[in-house]
Amino acid sequence: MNFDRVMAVTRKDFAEFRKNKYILMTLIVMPLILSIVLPMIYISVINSVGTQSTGEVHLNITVTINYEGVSLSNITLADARLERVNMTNCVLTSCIVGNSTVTRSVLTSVDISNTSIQDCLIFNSRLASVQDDGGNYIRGSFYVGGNDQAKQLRDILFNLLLLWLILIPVMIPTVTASYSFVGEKTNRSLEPLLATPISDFELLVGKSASIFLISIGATWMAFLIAAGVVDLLVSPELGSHPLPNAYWLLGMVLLAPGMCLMSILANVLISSKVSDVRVSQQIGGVLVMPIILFFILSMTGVLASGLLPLFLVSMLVFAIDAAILWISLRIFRREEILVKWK
Amino acid sequence: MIETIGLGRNYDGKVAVEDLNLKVNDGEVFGLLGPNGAGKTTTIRMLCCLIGQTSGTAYVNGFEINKEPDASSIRSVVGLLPESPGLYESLSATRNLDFYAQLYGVPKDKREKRIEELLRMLELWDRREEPIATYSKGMKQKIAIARAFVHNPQIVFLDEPTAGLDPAASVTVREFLLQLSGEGRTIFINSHHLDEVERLCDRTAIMNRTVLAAGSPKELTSRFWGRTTVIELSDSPERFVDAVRGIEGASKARVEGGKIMIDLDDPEKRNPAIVDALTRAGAKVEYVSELKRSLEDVYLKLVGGGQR
Repeated sequence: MNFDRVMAVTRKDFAEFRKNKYILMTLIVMPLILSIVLPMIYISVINSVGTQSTGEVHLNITVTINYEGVSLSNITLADARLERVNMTNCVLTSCIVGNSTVTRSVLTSVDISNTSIQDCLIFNSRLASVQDDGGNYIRGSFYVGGNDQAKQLRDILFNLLLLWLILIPVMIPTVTASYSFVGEKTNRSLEPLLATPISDFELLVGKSASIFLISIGATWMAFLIAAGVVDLLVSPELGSHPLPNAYWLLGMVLLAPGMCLMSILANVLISSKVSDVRVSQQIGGVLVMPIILFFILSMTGVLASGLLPLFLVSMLVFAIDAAILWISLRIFRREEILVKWK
Repeated sequence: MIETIGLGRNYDGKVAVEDLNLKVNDGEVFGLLGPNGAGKTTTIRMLCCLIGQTSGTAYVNGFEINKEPDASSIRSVVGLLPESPGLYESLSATRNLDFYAQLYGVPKDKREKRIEELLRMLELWDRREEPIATYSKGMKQKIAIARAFVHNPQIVFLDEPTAGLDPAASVTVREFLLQLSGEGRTIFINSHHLDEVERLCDRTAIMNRTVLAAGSPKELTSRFWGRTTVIELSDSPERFVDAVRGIEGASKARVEGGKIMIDLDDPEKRNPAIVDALTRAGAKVEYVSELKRSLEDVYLKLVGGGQR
């Protein structure tokens, strides 16, 4: 591979991108909207759950059964009063709990007082004199017993935001790649270009590099802005700046480039087969839908839970990238492009 | 040198070029003439290794087409002007030419010098930094031709270099090509502008899927018609035409348009005897000339109205 030729293609494409208002708009407006608006909506949703503090919850509990001085485990209870009860792995709904200990349970619409709670998930409940295992109060009914657990949940939520932002490196190439390849066709500049000594591989790499660099640049900028917006919104409550954390950094360095490449290569594949920029963008948009769907599904799963799943998924994405590149090189036929263009 | 041996190309079973046999010598300006759809562009694309052939083969500068690593070598030594200029409209002339010079591996200092030389030759140096989109059609075509020459290729293929240009722009482009053809490189021109080919080319071939005839314009005309002497008399030619019949080397003496026309094997040798015969018969010869057949005549004879 001749790097001078690859660089020449990349630099030429950069120069063209700079003069294309449509591409510039895409590179600036979309990341800007997503990096500012998305975190704002996201944080406000989290806060709307988190700000239901103990004193503001109005419960209407009708007690039909009483438990006192017993130990309960693996049980589901509703409309019960529980006094001096040790509960493990329970699901409580519309209950009154006092002077008890609750571990690894889910509590919904529960009036809780003088109770020790550990590793629990609590929704829409009133808490009074509640202690976690560290003796610290964590506000809101959106509560998981234990400081580490709370931090973990919050981190997962931040991680999920990063996965939403992965839309940016996936979407930008649908515009830039369409212009880059189909633009050459419609401009009729592909014939003299293919008559030069540049190989198919060099051309693919040079063009993909320009799209990649410009897309990943906009993506990283968007990620940093989003991290800044999140920090700005949550730091008064947390007293710290949580982003960018290690998960975000790994996402920016590995997952975002991997997804960006996947989108580029998929669009290159389409571009080499169609003759119209708009058709290419439309097909590209449809093609990235499964990618987006994959991430929406991932959000409920393990992907957001830590660095290792993220790393493994990133590696999987790169493997898919390599497969698409392999297919692209076999499908990219200069003769077919020249003969079949309209 | 370019040599094609039984070269052919089909598109989905439809024949575009068949059994094409051509030889273009080094340093020659060669014109390929033919009607629309005759396979001229397909031929150039095959020779530039842009598309493959379905039969036969060809050699460009000693390298076999569409066969690696020869194809890469061919692309390095040829320059191409396609049917459409295909320039990057948002970029300047300098940026367009510099990009191609980089792809051909021309060192920075040499390409700067070459680009300046070409743009000055084209009288576009003052507009070198303006986007191509602001150029006229003729100016764009000139830049596209300059692009084909930017790496000083040994062989240049020009597909319809003056197509769609106004007469003034066509003249400029032709002058530019004449200037560049003097640098000893092989230039292969596709055209259906007979006048252009006649003026620019050392040799030409007329094709319609395959080669119908090839040679210099003079060779082609003499091949199809021989040489004809035209004699204008002050008197009625019908009275004297018999006087030249039977002269050695002369055939088909006839009257056309009030003039005597005689097909001769060697006009320079036979003309004095003909004039003498006419004078002796009492005719008053006003002038003697040779009938000029143009490439157009050859073209129309071979291709006629049979365009596909």
